[in-house]
Amino acid sequence: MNLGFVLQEMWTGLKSNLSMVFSIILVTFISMTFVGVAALLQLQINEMKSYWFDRAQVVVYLCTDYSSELACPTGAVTEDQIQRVGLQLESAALAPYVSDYYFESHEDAYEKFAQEFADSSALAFITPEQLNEAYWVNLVDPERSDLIVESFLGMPGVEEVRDQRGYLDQIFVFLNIGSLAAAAVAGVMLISATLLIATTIRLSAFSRRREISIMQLVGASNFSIQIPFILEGIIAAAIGAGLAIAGNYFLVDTLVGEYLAPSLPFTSFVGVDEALTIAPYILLSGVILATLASAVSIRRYLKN
Amino acid sequence: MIRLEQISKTYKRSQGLALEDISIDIQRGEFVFLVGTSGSGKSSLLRLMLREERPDQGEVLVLGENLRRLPSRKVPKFRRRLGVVFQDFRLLPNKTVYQNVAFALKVIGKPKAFIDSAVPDVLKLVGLDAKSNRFPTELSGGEQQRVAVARAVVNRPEVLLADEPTGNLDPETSQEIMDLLERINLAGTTVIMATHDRSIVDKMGKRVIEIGGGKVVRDELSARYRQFDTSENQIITTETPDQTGGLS
Repeated sequence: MNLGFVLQEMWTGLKSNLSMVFSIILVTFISMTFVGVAALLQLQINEMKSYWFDRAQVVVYLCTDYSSELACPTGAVTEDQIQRVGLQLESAALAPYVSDYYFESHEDAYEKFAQEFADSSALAFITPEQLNEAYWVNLVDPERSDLIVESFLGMPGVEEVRDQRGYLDQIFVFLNIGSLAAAAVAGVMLISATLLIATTIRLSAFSRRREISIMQLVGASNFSIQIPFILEGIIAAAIGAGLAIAGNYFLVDTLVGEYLAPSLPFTSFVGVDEALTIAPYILLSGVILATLASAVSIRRYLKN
Repeated sequence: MIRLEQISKTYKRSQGLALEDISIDIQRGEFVFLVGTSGSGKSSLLRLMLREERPDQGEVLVLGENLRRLPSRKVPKFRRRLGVVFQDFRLLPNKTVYQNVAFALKVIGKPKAFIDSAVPDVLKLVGLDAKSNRFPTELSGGEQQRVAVARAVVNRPEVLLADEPTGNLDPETSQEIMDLLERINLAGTTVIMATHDRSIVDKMGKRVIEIGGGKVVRDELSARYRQFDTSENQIITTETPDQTGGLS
């Protein structure tokens, strides 16, 4: 089979079916953009997890004179209790999970507070004694924070054990919902794209039924009859996928890179690198989708 | 060359047997007319020889292939050894005479050098070398059929199947087509032609196989359209041209 001839036949098909081809391009563009957004959101979640989880600490807040009686029935933490919390962190049971820790005194806590709320009038009403002394614990594996939390809960002199990952989990739930929503839209759009490609190829075959019947009569192989139609679907879908790649690139480069990232400086965001990483997969899935849809469609047409 | 052995075939939409216990043997280089009324089964026979259909019973042997057992993937290769011509020409309107003929070679992957030499040769054979750049709509019916014949024989098939090739043509043009088919036959191609054209069959004096009610009712060498027909005025044919049973 002569390649020039195949391409010529494919081109004839594309030209004679221009509006349908255009609709394939659009539907593939939209569906693949959503596939890309869903993937980018997942990458964003991973990015934030690795960024924040490494930094996330478990904080063991110790009782003050101002703590509630429910949490601290014995009143403010004693020197002895402080030491015992420290010893527990060093114990054989916990040491393997603790990467390092430090103790924060009333004064340290006040200093930090003063820095963070320098402009706030609240500073005037706060004394160092009101702020909890605390152990800040970095973990070897942040996923195992529950072990630390459980071992200090209810310990005399401990008011509260807080896993900072708890704050992040809420953000991730939100991002995951976004990712799932994008994937759901992508799924529906992909179904439309598949059906549209199949219909378009069938129409294209119908408009060239004379050529097809002559090809069958003179003994053209099934492959050479089918391939121009399959290529037609692939070309249209590849253009759509290409636009989706450009769309995703624009999304991370402009919307995230220029607007979102500067306004949230302490968060790591997906960037152009990630958009380029998913690009080949988007193109590939567009091409595979089009190949399957058009191959099945043209085969079914030829069987009838 | 072509042997049908006790062929039977029924079609879902019609009742009864379309073809019943048909046995035909055609030798290499023969010129055979298939005659019979509309719906008698002439076109069905051609479709069987082309492997567009398979018989319910019996064997179809064409060019050494048993078509009942020939798997679908081998059909394209088999069809390259046959040429087919139809009543309605089946040319591609958006391609020139040259392109229409070249199309048949391109789609089976013939090299350009072969196409460049074979197409002008066959257009000369059918007398259309001067009109190779015309489009089908610019040609007369006879010329269009000659393009179709050119396309059918450009790959030098061993067998040429013709389904009512003169059905849409006036007598004079029909004769031109028959002259052309006879020349192709003399060059060694077996020709099998289904027709209603009584004058052509009578004039050619070739082998005639008459199909009636799905059976072979007559098979004679050097025959006429009608049996016992000694004078053209003696028996009046009342059948109408077969418009429905063409090959698809």
